[in-house]
Amino acid sequence: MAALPKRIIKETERLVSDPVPGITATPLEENLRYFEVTIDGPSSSPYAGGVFQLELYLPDDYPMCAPKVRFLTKIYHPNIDKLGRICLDVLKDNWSPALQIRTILLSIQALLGAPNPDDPLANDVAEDWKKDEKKAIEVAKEWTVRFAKAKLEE
Amino acid sequence: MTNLLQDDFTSPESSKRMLEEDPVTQIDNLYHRMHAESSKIKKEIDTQLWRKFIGSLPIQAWATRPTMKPLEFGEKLTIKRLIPKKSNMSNSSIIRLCTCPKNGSDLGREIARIPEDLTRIFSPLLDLDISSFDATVIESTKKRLSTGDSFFIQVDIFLKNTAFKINSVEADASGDLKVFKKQKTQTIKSNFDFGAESENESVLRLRQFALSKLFEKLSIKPTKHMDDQPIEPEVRDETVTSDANEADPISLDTDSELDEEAPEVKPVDHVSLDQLKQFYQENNQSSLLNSLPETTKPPSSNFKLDLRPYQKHGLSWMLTREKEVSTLEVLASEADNSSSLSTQSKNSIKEREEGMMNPLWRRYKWPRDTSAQSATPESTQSQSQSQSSAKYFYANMYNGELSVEKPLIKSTLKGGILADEMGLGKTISALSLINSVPYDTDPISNAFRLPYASRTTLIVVPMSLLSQWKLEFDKANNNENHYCYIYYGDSTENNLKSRLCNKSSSIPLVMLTTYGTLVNEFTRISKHRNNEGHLPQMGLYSVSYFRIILDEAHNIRNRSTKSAKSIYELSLQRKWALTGTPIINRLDDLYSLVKFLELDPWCNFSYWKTFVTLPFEQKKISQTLDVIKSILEPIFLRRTKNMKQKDGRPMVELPPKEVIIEEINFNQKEEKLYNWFKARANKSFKEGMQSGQLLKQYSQILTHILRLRQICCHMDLVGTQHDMEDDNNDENDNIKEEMKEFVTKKITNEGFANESESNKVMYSLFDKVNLTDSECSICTQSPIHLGEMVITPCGHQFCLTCLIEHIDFQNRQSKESFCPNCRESVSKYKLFKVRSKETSKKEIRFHTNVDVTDPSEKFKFQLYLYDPDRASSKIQALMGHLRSLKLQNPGEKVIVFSQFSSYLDIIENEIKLQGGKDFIVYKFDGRLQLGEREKVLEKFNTNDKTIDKITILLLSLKAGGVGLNLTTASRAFMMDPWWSPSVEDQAIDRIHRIGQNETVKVIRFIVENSIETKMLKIQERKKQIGEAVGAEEEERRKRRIEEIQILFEE
Repeated sequence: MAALPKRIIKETERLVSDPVPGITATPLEENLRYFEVTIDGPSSSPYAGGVFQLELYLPDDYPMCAPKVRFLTKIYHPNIDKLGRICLDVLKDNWSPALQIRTILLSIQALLGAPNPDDPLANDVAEDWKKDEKKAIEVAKEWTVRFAKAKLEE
Repeated sequence: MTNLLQDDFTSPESSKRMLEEDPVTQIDNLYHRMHAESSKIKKEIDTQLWRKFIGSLPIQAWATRPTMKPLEFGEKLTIKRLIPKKSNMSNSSIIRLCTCPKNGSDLGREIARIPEDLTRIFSPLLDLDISSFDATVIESTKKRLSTGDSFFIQVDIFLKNTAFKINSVEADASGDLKVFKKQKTQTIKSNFDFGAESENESVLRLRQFALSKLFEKLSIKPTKHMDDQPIEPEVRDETVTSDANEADPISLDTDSELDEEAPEVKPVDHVSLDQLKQFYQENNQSSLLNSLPETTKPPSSNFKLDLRPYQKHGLSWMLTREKEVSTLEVLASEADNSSSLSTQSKNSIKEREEGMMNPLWRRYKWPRDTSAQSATPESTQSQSQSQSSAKYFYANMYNGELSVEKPLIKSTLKGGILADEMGLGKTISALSLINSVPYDTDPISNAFRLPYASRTTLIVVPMSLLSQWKLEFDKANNNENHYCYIYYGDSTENNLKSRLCNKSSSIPLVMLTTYGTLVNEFTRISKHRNNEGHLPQMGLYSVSYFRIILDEAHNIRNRSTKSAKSIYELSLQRKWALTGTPIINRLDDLYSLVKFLELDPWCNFSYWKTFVTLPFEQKKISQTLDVIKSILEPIFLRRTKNMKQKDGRPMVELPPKEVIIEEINFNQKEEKLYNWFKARANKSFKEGMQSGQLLKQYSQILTHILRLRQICCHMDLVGTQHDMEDDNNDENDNIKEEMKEFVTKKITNEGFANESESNKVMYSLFDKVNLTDSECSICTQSPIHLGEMVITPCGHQFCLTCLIEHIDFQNRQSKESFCPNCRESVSKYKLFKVRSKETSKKEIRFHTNVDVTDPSEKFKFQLYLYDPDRASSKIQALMGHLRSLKLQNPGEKVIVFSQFSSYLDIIENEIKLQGGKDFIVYKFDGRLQLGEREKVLEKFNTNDKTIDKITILLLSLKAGGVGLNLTTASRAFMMDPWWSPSVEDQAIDRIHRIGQNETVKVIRFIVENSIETKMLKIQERKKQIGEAVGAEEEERRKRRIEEIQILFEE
């Protein structure tokens, strides 16, 4: 594998030295392009109190193309499917090399606070969300407790 | 025998004088003296007239006349040579068997004949007085013979003393074939007139033919040389000779290729580079070499460098070649008391001093006498006692000469060829020799026509190496009285006598000059030869030198060039040739070196031609290589990097070398231009193929190919004068015009509509430029390097390479490119670069065609429109590498190779423009004056590695491809490929050689899917089939056509 670009080193250093509140990202020692990420659920959201685990991988073309990010913790969210894949424009067509790991993770955190059922990835969840938002939020809270908090308490 | 006694006697004059003194006693005295004298002569003749058994053949003979009575077992017959009138040897070979003369008057009666193939062999042997034959009937015939009856005899064959006589003269190898031919005709006892030269040659040929066939019939084989295998041969001798004795003679009835002239015709095989390499290696296996010490080193008072073991070994060899055995002994033991010169090596050196056995000769063992004659006891007396003690005799099967004494070449030659592979330090080896034996310790004994510069070694080098030799000399020198004088340019002299031949201590130890200087002087004065043909005593020719060292001696490989002739005419005592490539094209390349060294007898061209050139032309390749091997063995030393030292370690442990091919993509404009030229080239090629005149259009096609290669480098190269090509200038101008027209056609409409629009945008951007606190959001570089900085119309700053990479990435995915920061759309054609105001106009010229007027005085920088197609893709790639080196290894030294000098100019400007203060650039090419070359190399080599800059040497492949030592750098970039892989390897070896301690990293830039990728194919091909050594003209033509076809295949 090619040497790690200077930018990745710089970004990693900054994630450690100047962490974003509610977000951690730690690279694996054996592969510095692979990060273990946690995001705290935003306080005003059904995910509040949960700590969500994600994985983030920087492809060889980074930063020309976006990092690959996926939820590992089960989450009930219209823009995140069963496999943890995320529907977020900056991870796809709207990626810009000026964006960074930090900004991407912040965007994901923001997505948790503002689900968008009109641009769904998990169709069933989006349906639920549109039919009965209150109930959906309850399920989301319940899932958070079940998957994102339980882990924490263990 | 009797008439010999009568003829040869003391002269009558001297006896007369004695008579006058005291008649009676004197007569008495005289009588005794005469008696003594005559018996002495008799003895002498006895010892001189001898013959020695060489072998027996059973032969079936046919009666030509009826006999009176049956032949009995053991009956002797004589073999008679009949020569018809008006005939000569070459077409007559009549031999008859006769009965033995019964009494003095009877001449014997012809009774039978022997097979034709044998008479052809026997008759020249008889004519030339080489052999005598005894025939004995070995089976009684039951009845008397009628014509045509067959019977069996045994023929015992003896070599006569007369066969050996001429050789004692010849064995010293006077070397001149013509001379020895004359000697030969004089000694031949025959009735024929061999006056004409061609007759002489036919005699020689007959002799060679007869002897070699005879040896073949008798299965006589040479024994191994003592020299080469000290213990084994004795054992092997026995086996070989006993084999020869026991083996049945070849069946006589088979008529074995009588017309064959050559003694041995080996299968014709193709000589390849590999074979030559193998031959070099085999060349070093002599026992002398193995026995030489590896501890020899020059006195430390003269020489301060350390030598590697193989270099010490080489020094030992060189000292033996100069016959400086005592020096060798002192120097070898000084370093290490325990290992003084071994007796074995002393012996082999002594053997060498006495003279080498002429390599064309083979030693044979006399066979045990099993002749019919030997069975009868009284007849043994005829075998001279003194001769029978000799165990061996010697024969030269190349010309049929025989000798009882070991034919030695007593060479007075001091010197040799040091042909170590490039990078093994031939220069250091030569300097170690000079410092070991700095001057002639016995200058008086040399009487020369010219004043003797007994304290000076002349070193002749190619101009590009002059300064390096000086540096190396100074680096090695430890004696303040020793210095090196450069005889070149202004510092030449009319007469060197006062400088080199005086009593003072300020005589230079080494005088360096160039082949060019020699040729100049030689040409100037060679018209003014004196009556004896001597050159006037002027300049370099005014003295006789103690020693000469020719560096890169293959410069004189063509003996008819002025370079070679100017060297031959120098007066020299010790001669050395240094070359890593003694054979460039032909085996005859070696001849010139042999001639320079005056290696007897090979320096005589007729000799060389007979034994090397002609056999090689007749495709007797392995035989020829054998001969050359023998010729060179004593005077030639070659070690290669791959050889192992005695302890099994490699000769030189060089750090690893990584050569990476980096494929480059054309930008749009380059691609378009390339395709345009390619279409033209293809058309020309197809025309050539169709008309079958491809090679006639060779130069035209080469021009096409050249243009394609130039575009791969930089489009500005097209039409520039290039030293390698004799381009028609008008044609060049035309193509430039056409190209300009073609190029200026708008390739894209992405750019600004016109200049005023672009200026408008540009002016608006000045305020947005931030020189000190900018960050490239793509690579997070902050601040962005000035040379790299680019600003978008939306006012965002990036590194140029980052932004271009982004735009290309987007375009590849068919997406629109946008500014990473604000998502405004961006285009390569609407970017502005920044430069400081100090940058000179000249450098800008290479970067843009648009001359920008400074809009405002208040800024310390300028903006200008970036032209994405202006800088070549290769230069971009190079810049990328240089920049990342600057970040990762500041202080690194880098070599950039190209074969185009004008390309180096462009690169130089580009680096200065884009890299600014991060890089120090030097340039070394053919246009550089000698004084400048030296300075450039010294600056490059001595530049401090701790400074925070990359030092770059732009090196022309041709000017700097050979000889230079640039080990202070460990990285190189090859901007363009060359046809021959070895040229590139040589260039890489400038940094990958002794003295290099780091891994060498080389990047070769190759434009993808272009002529350059095809050149790589040709390089590969050349590596496989070897470069055309010994290839015939026809073969070369074929290869050239094939190569062109490779270039044009899709």
